[in-house]
Amino acid sequence: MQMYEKFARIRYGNKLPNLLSSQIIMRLSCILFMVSMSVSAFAFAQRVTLNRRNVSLTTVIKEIKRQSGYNFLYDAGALSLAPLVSVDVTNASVEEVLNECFKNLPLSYVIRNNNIIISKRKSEPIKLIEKNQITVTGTVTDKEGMPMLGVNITVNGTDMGTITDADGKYSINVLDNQAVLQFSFIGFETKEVIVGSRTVINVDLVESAQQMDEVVVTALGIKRAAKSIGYSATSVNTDEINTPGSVNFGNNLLGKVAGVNVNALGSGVGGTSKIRIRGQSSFGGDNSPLIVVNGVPLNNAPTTAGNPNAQESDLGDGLQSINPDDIESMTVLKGASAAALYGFRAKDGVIIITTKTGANTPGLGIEFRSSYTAAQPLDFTDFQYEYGQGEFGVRPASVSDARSTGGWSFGTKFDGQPIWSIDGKQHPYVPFKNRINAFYRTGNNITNSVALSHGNEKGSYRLSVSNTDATNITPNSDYNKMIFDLSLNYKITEKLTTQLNANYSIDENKNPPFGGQRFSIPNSIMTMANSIDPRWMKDSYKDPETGGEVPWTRFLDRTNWYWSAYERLQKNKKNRLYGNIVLNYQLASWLYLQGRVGLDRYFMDHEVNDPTGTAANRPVAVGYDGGFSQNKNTFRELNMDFLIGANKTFGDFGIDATFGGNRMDQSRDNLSVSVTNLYIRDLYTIGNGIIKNPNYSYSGKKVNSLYGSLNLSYKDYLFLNATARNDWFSTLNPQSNSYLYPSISGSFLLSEAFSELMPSWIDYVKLRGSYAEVGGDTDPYSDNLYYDMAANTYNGYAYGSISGSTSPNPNLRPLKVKEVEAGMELILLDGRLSFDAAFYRKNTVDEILNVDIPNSSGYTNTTVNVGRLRNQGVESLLTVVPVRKNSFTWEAGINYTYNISEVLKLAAGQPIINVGSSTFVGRLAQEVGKPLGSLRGYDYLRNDEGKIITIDGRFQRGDEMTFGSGIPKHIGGLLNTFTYKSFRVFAQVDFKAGHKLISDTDWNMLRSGHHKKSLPGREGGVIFDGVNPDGSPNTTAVEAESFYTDYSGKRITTESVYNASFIRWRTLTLTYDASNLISNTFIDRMSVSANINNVLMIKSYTDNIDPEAVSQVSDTQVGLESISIPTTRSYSLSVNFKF
Amino acid sequence: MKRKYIIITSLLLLINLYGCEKDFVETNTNPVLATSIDPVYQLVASQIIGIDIVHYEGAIVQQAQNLLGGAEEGGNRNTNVDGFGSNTFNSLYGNQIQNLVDIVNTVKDDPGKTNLHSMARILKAYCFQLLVDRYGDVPYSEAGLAYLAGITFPKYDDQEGIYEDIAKELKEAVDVLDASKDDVSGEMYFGGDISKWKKFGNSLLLRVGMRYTKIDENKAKSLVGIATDPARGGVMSSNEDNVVLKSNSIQLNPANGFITGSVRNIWHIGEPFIDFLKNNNDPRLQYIAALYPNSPSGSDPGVPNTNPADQIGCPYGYTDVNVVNAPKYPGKNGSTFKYSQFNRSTIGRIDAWLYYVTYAQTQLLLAEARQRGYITTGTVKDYYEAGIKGHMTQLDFWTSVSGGDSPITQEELDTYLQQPEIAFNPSSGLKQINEQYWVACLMIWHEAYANFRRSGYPQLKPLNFPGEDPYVSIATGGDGFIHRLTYPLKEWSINTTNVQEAADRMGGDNMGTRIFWDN
Repeated sequence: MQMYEKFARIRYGNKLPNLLSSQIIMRLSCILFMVSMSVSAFAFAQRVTLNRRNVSLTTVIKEIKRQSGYNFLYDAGALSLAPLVSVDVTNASVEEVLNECFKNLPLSYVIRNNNIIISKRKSEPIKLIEKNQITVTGTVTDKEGMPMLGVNITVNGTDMGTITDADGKYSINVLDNQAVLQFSFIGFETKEVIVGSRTVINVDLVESAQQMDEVVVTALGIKRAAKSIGYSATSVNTDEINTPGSVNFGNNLLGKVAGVNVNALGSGVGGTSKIRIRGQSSFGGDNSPLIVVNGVPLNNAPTTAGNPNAQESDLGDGLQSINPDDIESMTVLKGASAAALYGFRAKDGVIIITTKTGANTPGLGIEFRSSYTAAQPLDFTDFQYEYGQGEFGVRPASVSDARSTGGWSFGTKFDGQPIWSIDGKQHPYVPFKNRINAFYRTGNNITNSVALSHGNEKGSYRLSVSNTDATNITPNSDYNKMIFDLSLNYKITEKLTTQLNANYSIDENKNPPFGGQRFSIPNSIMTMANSIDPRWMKDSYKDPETGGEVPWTRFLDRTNWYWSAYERLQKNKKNRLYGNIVLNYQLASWLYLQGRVGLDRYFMDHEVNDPTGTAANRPVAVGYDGGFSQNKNTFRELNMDFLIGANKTFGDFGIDATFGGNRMDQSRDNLSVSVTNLYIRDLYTIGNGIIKNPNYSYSGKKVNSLYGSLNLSYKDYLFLNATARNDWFSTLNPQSNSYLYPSISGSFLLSEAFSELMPSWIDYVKLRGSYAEVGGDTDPYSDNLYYDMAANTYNGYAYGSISGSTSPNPNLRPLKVKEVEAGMELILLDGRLSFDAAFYRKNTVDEILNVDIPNSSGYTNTTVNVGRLRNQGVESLLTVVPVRKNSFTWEAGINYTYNISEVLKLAAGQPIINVGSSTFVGRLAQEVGKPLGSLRGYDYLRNDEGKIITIDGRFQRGDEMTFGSGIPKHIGGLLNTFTYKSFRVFAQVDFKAGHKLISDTDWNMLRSGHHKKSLPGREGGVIFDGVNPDGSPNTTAVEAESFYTDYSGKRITTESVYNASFIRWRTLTLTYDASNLISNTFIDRMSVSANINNVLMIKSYTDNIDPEAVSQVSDTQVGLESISIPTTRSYSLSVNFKF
Repeated sequence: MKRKYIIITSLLLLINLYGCEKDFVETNTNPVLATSIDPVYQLVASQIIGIDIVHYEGAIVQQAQNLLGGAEEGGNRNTNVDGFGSNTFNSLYGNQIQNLVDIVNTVKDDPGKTNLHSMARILKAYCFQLLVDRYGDVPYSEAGLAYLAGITFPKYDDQEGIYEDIAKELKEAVDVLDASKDDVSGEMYFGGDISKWKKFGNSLLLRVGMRYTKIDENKAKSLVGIATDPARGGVMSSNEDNVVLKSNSIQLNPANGFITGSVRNIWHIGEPFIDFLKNNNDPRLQYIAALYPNSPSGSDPGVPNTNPADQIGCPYGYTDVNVVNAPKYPGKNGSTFKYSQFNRSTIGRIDAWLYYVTYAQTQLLLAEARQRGYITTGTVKDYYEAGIKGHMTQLDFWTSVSGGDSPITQEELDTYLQQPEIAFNPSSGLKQINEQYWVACLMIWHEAYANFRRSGYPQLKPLNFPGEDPYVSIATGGDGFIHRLTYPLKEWSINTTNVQEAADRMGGDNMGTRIFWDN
């Protein structure tokens, strides 16, 4: 879709393909790149010589344009209906040629200045005159009152239409006074008017905010024509990312933009959307792109909170604080060149978001949107259902047996006889196959948003409020957010304008799910025996006498799921304010000065208890076991910047230059108190804690920057852009804290430069290339050793020690990313086919490695500037429009990304570094000569022939080996849009391939007897296919549970490595534009849409899990699957009103 | 004019923004952490040593036992599990050695901190002895220097050389200690009492010296001589001299999580240990062992049965499956086997004190030194009995009250000393002494483990566990016991060259390789 989007913008300008209405697409008629040439001031050759037979009208028009210098404005749909024409004229006037061309066609034209406007010839006078037919006349003017020529006027729901003449006048017949006239002109807001009792309707059109040419918002918010850009910058269709279903709209980017890899994490509705552009530029955990909203960076780092013996809870990211209804435009700057002006923050690309304003809304504009989503858990489990709960081939014989073996399916064969179970009752010994749907519930999400806007020539405002109420599929877990967005614009004087954007959001996370062990609901649900119905524990999770947890397995760290859900309570509340104030002074028509102050600030209050009576808790010396922790986080970033911009044209040459500076001041602090053991039972406060552990931490840094860019253009087909940015860092040694980041890029419009040589089927050809260097930041205080005192004394003896386990390095530099990119854009066959490809090579040098060093050095790691890595690949978009009829279009967009990475260098003599490990099995490493993200784990001990060695029938642990990379090489999507009259159907299929995962789930299922792979050897023991140390085949049988438990003890990973590739039917959306139905009411627009997310897993290779079920936000955990909540299929319904 | 004015203003603004950035240094100084602290605080932090020694040492010396494989296995099955094997390595280097090396670096040339310097050297020597005894060759001369000297990949030093240096350090440090010099009353073991520090240093030196009995008796004798030289302050002479971490309800015992934590239901007391105590009517048994009725439900274990006659130790060489075939198999209570567990109200309290180096151990070492003729004062019997008495009268150990006096009476002690196997008999002196040393190292299993390898006592039966590590297995050349623990896998994966060199020097990084004093 996005491919079509791009094409459409080139063709029609941003305004048009508002896909709500097919009519609009067809009616608004123009081609842009021609129009945009109207500024060229060369003389018009009046005479044309042309001799072509049976060619398309488009070809003829192009030729006339080339010879005469006139621009053409026309309705592509109308032209496509025309049959082939033959023309033979010599030294004729333009009028003569056109008359010749159009003589048998239902087309007419008018000439105004250097523009020729072609439109469908006015309908033949209607023969049958209706009784009530009304003739409406009027004048269309622009906001300065100047008459507008060539404005399209149509009667909604009919074929009737006309255009205005040179005086802006028109005349049209309508059938009744309910008729709605639609006035449209390229570059202007379309206006609809109900005829009513009037016969004279004068209309003034206002310019739309977008310009006619495709405009891309580039770094620092500077708008530039797409054609002039020498790198890949993709505008994202805001309608498509605003489909309901995901609470975090970042997830909707998945599969839509080439080069962008999105993971919707399995961490619940309030979770992070993990976005990576062009691979992973560093070995660190967070390679998220910079998010810039209205020119000001928004901290998008995921927020997390700790859990004992478990993964951290994912509490969401910065994108979450944005209401997608507020987004006017979104641009993805993928490469270093695109992002170069962001210098040290640009290594992972930039997502630039501009929010809506109230401009051009003469009356009070009201928009309202409401959606409801139901999310249903998906069950990928396919366990063995032959042998039930129990251990060592024995079924539970008592309640305490049951409560000790609840995590094992190594019992006897199912026979339906009653057995004691974990709830203290007897149940038949039968399989229970529906654990996922029995325990998890349907998640809900209700989102409402409303926006008010108004704007006139002096200024505008827009105020929006949105509210989301969502429930997770885990019980007692929900999420709520409210977002307020305000945009104010005011023209203080003719030259001085001011603008204010402010966004305030409150989001609350209650009991977000997490993986790992203790208190992890997904872990317990997944690991319970295959004959347990999780609901049995609902009323018996708490011991009625002690009030403590009723354990269900001898691994006390696997908490009873209902105990976790109802007793272990976590709460997080985030208040965030971000926004900016801008002053812009137009010093001259070619020169402006802008100053801006932007703020991003949030407060996060987090609290979590460790409930008294949790089975895994240590007994206490005094009081009650359990605990509580409370955490207050503050983040603040202040950016002050200025920008001076100038642009001027000298003949064929144009210059556009900007110069600016930024001062960033960032700080965060954290005040936390955690207490263990309580004086008073069930009172979870820090005051009630016996062992108190307070902590305060602070970190702050400043970066000053100066930057500039210079754009040169020649004849509107050759463009050159150079930028430079210098950053000064407070985090670095003052002797070497200044770094310069240059970039250069260029684009060449082949189709313009050699338009006379271009065959008629080529519409647009652009070549582009660029080189840039950008950087990555270092952390504050990493240059010095610090000491910290312990919070409590030891029997009155105070103590303190070296703070942290990272050895400081005073000589750090920021890392550098050097990227070369080349690309081309093609539009062919009258826009029916378009293609955009980019090739890039991105080298990261001076990579700051948080290197593991031997613990014997006194520290576990240090940071050094030695790493080098490379990402290179191809991004491509192919858009085909197989059908383009008046009432039906079908557009298919295919995007495909191929990215390969290679670790080029680590610290001297170091072939490998470990960057992360999973809860149970496997770890992530970076290895020289291998792609990023090596998944490693232990293999069996093998002999020289590769056969597995067994001792007494049991395999042994062999070497650690690399199984592959956890990062996909291939990512792509197929996006189909079908438009029929007012209906639109959108379907997306996407895939990722070429990567592996290590599955904690799999490993757990195997060792606990749930996995089908654990069936062999249940009777008589496992005779493993291995050899004795002397090479003879193994003949010793090992009892099944003892055998499979060895996978745990010896941490053998080999069996739990999977191909992580998948093809998924991601989305199906049906949208109906109901504006026609309500055209005689006070509602301007209305549309309804229904959406299904995660329609179908078409192909995957993993047992028992969804290969996308990853819950860790960090890149140090890539490909390490750990047990997380099930992925969901969601069904949404939404309605949109505009008043 | 107006335009010029604006441009000038903005230029001034620029200069203001970028011209003076003196505050960068200030910005990059952490306002809530210190760039230096009194090294005494670091010394106290280093005194809190908490390492997991149950999974290997406790199981190898057959005092602690769990029957499970998987996540909790290690010494109970003679298998090599990195997580438990590398615990001591990572913990000591990452906490104690990191800070002690830093303290030594800070105060080594400070004439006003000679006592503090000596204390740091003694504690450092102790930590390195723990490391050598467990792993053999370890980084020593280049350890802990990542920040101070930029040594991020420390080389491994020869274990014998390290031992030489430890002995030298202990001797020198004790000799430098001087009550008239700097006051270090902020340290936690003895509140700065110099005479006690001397005894601590000398007792450690005695321990170091006695390690040589198997390989170099002359060396042993000479070191023991230096350690016990009364002119140098002597060794520990009462329980007052013990090096003990006095845990409390806020600072919990850092090393006994296995008794009280989430795996508390799987840990039992080993059969040989229960039998030794039971067969000799040991008055300590009732405070060590308990049978809990309520396992595994929740945090309330129920009222324990501490009757010595009912205690039954968990046998070795069995799994949780085939243990049903073991003689005297007592059955299960839920998921928990009905074998004795550590008493959670006494030595297993969450706030139980943690003894590192004790008077009891020291007296028993003296007994052996006297028996071997390294020293000439006192009698073996007196040292032996003083050692037993010392252990029985340790504070806190036998009571449910933190720091409580021992409930064991003189009468119980006297009766015990007359037990046929206990009453001192010179012909089986080494056996008796070292069996008592084994008991006196309850909960300090790294020392029990070292002494077991050195002395060969108690005479334990090898596990012969199916599928045990081939370097340990008798069938493949071992003697059935783990003789050392292997280096952390992390060292292998990133400090490869240095580890390889050490492994080659020692004859392989495996559990069958012996520490130099164990040959």
